[in-house]
Amino acid sequence: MPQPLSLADLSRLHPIAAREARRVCRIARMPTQEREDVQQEMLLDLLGRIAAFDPSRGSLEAFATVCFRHRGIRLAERFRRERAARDDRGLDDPLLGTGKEHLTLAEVLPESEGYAAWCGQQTDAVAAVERRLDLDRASAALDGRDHPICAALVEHTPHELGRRGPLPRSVLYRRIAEMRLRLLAAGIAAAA
Amino acid sequence: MDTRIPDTPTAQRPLSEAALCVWLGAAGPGDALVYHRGALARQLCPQLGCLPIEQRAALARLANRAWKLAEAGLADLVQRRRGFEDYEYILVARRRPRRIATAVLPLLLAEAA
Repeated sequence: MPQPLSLADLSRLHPIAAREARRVCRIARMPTQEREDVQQEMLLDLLGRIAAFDPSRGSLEAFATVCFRHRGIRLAERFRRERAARDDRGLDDPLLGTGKEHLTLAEVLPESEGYAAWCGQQTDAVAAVERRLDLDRASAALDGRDHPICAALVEHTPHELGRRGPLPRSVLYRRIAEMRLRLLAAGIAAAA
Repeated sequence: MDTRIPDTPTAQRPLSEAALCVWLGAAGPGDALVYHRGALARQLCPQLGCLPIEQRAALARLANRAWKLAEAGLADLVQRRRGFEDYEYILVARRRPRRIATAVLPLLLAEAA
């Protein structure tokens, strides 16, 4: 049965973990604020491996140092992979090879690959107009008593509207289900 | 959300309300869908107990939705007799009416603002 680590053991291992974490951050050129996270990762990894510690083969400090080194290598590799996948260029940075005009990254990126597109916004102007026309046509399919609900749902969630009143939440969700079916019948599918 | 265009329903996979509306939304004028086969009046009667409660409730919602779509002028409801108490209930899509009312969407957005 492996002996659990005592507070005294941990107090001896903390300086070793801190030293190894500094070493990993220096080798992998990680920012200073990552050091504490790396140290915690190493200690956590050690806790998972403590069952394999055999006191007859060496000291706890030596065992911990080996575990920290191995964990540090994997953390450094992971950080390098993540950094290679990131692009540190700013949008206003000039692009090489663009001649005298010095195009920036923002000028080269199409709208369909911009941040707005990532957030699900419509970047195609023609499709936006078509969607607007479809919604205008479909809004005629809604019941007149649902218009205030639609206007309120632009600003609030159904849960918030149910709390504020006057319609109870059950009625509200029933009306929303009815609106959804009417819009489906008018050819407007949900965006999400 | 079910956005697939449904095939003719079978006993194993009955049509849902949403699937019926999705079909109508994508249908052109004159397209027809058999949304149920059997005897609606008999199968919806709770006293006769032809179907379990959940299935009967789902069928009632489906039939009610088909009726509402017909009342809204979006479809026509017809039947074809196949045998004794065996009917095909068919929904035929109509041409969507031209919108003659003023646009509602700008009013909704203005009210929300």
